[in-house]
Amino acid sequence: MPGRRNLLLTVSAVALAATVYASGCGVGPVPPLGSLLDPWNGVWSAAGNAELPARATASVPGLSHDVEVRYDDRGVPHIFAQSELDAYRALGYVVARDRLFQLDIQTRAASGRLSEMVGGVARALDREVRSLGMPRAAIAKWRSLPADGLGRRVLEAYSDGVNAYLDAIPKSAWPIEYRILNARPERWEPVNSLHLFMRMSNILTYVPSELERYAAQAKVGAAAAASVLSVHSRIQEPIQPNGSAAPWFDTTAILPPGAPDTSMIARTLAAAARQFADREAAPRFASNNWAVAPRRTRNGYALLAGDPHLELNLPSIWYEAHIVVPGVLDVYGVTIPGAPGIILGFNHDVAWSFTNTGADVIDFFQETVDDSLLPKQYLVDGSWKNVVRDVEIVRDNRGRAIIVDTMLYTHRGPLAKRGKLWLSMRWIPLEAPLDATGFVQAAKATTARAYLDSMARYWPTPSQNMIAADRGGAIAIRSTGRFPIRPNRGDGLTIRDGSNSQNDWQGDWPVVQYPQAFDPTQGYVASANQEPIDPRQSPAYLGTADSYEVWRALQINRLLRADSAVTPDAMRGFQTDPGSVRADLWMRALLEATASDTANAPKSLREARSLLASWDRRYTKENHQAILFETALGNITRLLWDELEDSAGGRVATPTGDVTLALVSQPHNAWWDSRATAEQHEDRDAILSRALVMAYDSLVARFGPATGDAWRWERVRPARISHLLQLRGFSANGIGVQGGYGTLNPSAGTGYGSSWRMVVELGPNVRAWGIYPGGQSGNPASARYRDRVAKWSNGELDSLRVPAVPGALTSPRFFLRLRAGTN
Amino acid sequence: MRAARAILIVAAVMAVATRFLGWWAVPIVAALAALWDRSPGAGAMKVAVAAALSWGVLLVLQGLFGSSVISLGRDVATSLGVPALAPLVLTLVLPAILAASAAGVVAGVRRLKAPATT
Repeated sequence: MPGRRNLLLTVSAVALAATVYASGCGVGPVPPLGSLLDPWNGVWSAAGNAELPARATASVPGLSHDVEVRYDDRGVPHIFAQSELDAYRALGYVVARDRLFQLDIQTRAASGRLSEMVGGVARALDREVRSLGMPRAAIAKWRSLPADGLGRRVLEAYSDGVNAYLDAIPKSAWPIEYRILNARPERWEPVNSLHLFMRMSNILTYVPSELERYAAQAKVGAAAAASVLSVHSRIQEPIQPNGSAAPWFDTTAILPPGAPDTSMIARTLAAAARQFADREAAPRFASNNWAVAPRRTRNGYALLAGDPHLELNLPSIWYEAHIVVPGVLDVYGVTIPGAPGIILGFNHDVAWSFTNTGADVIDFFQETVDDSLLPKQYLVDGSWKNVVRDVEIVRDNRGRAIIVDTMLYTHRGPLAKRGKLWLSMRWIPLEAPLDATGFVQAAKATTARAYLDSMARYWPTPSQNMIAADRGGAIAIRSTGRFPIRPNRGDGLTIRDGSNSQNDWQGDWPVVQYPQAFDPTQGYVASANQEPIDPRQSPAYLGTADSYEVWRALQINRLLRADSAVTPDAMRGFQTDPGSVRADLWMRALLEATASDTANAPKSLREARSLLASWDRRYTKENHQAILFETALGNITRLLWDELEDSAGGRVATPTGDVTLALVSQPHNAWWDSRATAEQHEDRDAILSRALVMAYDSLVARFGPATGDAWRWERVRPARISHLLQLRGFSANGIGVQGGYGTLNPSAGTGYGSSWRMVVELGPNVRAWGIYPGGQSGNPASARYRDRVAKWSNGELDSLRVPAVPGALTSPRFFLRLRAGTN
Repeated sequence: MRAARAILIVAAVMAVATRFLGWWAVPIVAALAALWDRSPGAGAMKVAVAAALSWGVLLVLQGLFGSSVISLGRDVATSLGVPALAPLVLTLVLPAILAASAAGVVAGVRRLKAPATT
């Protein structure tokens, strides 16, 4: 039967070949099944590696003495080292131990090499990062660091620690994401920390407002654009106290839309402008911090609270750690994996936290070039200068070149064509020196002022509203970073002529001019991304209102003014307070404007009004009205700013919510008129009623009638905490939270929010509480991966343990001893 | 009994080989087992069972000394957009196919070389 024999052989051989191919090479988007499903070395190894070993020893090259690490019951490593550099080596090791994949993917994203790990889907991101000149700048900064400087040595020490862990582990201990991506971890380079800092600067400071403004000018004219895209917020409750016990409202009339600006620059930039999202509804990076002087606290000690609002991810952007170097350093707080140091936290004397300043640290210059297609030279003061060229090659995960871009640079920064213009960009993060010295040195401060002075010396970017409080009872806040001085004390809203060097920046603000306050008479300091200085007190240009948010600052000030005996628990409660000044102000206007002719109003309007009228304006988890209010406000934004829409239906710019609210007091301003109804002339009341009806009808269509739990806030606007690769199984979605946009806890309905809540009491013995949404481990199979999410969702904080010596930590969960090793 | 013992031995070898060499140890061990086992008929089936058993045991060990492989499998399945049990089932089926096909090739070659009978 030779035919049957051949058949058996053929079938077996084909089956073997196909299975081996699928196991070893993968098919299409499916990773190689063999290495994926291998029960010891594949995805399942995540289960076996879910917990750290109870006791472990490892060697780390460069250590001068052994380092003891004890993990507490929350999985927080307490590092006890004999020198600072040893401590940062150990920090690199323990961060890599828990967050290796995060370290890797963040670096690749920040250095424009994400495609090498995840394939061509990341090509647009890689191209953008490189077009901004970020990887190039990070490498240049690294090369410029003095060989014996602390900044460089700390980065190298941290790198030693990360690589020691990488060298110590078998393939089966690689994080699960590497199996899914069929990738392998990369060795850590010290420059990677600078890539991370550049990425944070990019996230927090890259707001090219001038392009948005020109695009708006092209739609409604320069005067109207300037009126609605104002430099200053229309509601003032600034970071630097202005002596007022109440917010100030700018009642200046808003100019109606005018004739389009037909100048070449406006038309060109309007055509090249990207589409801007609905600003009121768009998720944004934000943060809160405040500190209360002892005379306004119940226990008589200074209190400090902070909660940076960033993208919520699993694992979290933050990693909690405690570092002790006897006689030198004893600091507790959170670090970002890749950053060698504690960024937000406290020591035995001082506590600190940041919010984003939103300063304008970016300007564009129109260059005169020799060749409008591919310039080789550009003109400055009558002389031609050479354009620097760099070829950037983006490769995918198979090593294939998928993008080859020639990047151009002037002495100011990247040169790119926008429409018909060649614009070069100057941006503080590209040129400011960057290393870890700031938070390494400031962590040793013993007073609030010393902390802020240290940061002012070493921290150029991203500019942050840094708040500090100390055991001596001092409280202070300072917006810190490099702020450029424009020619003639001008603003950053115009595109300047690059051919004249007189138009370049003239230096940086002196520290004395920074927005700041030390022990103000009001007894507290607070920031929530609002405008730092009341423009009536200082007209100096720092940024534009579109980078500020007014609402949360109003709520913090309201809460702190009302409480003259603040407790740590009250501070905790404030962090998830459901109250909203925005809702208070808007609801009054909304109900009044839609009240006319109520009897003859459509049923939807009557029911919507009735629902809103019964709302206490608090964003509690169980309320049913906040979703109606938020949807209506989104509709108002869309209907009101239709003049700023482009032909594709997007908006070239969206004024901030305080401008929208200001228009309510101008019911017949032409902005209210809808362009879509040429024969009809709408006023405020018509638009507000229409927005409310649209909101009600759309919610009924989506969720059904507003009965039962159908419109319950925590159900319809849950927070999302996504895995770094957006893998649903490793994410925590549908997390009900109290709060919403404009409240102190704006996590609802978005993937952004309070990323690290901390409260510190600066008494004789510092007491602290904190939480972030996630867990210390980056391993989805670990019990420490998302163990804090439920508490975070409920607004609870964990008590933080701060042992001074290893033996003081009761019932440690894991032990790790790091021994001096060799390369 | 002999068959069961053979399956257990092959499964043990496969588990150890997988632990140290990776997934590709499965077809190699299966082929060697097929060469060794000259009994006609069920050779492919036996190594397939042994392969599934070996990976199953390794899975159990991962779960025993770590966290639940059931919940990890569910999360992986959700992440990859496949049915909840697919990763677990596939982890048992894949080595079985690898082993059976490798044994089948060995048996096929052997039969091809053997003198034809009528």
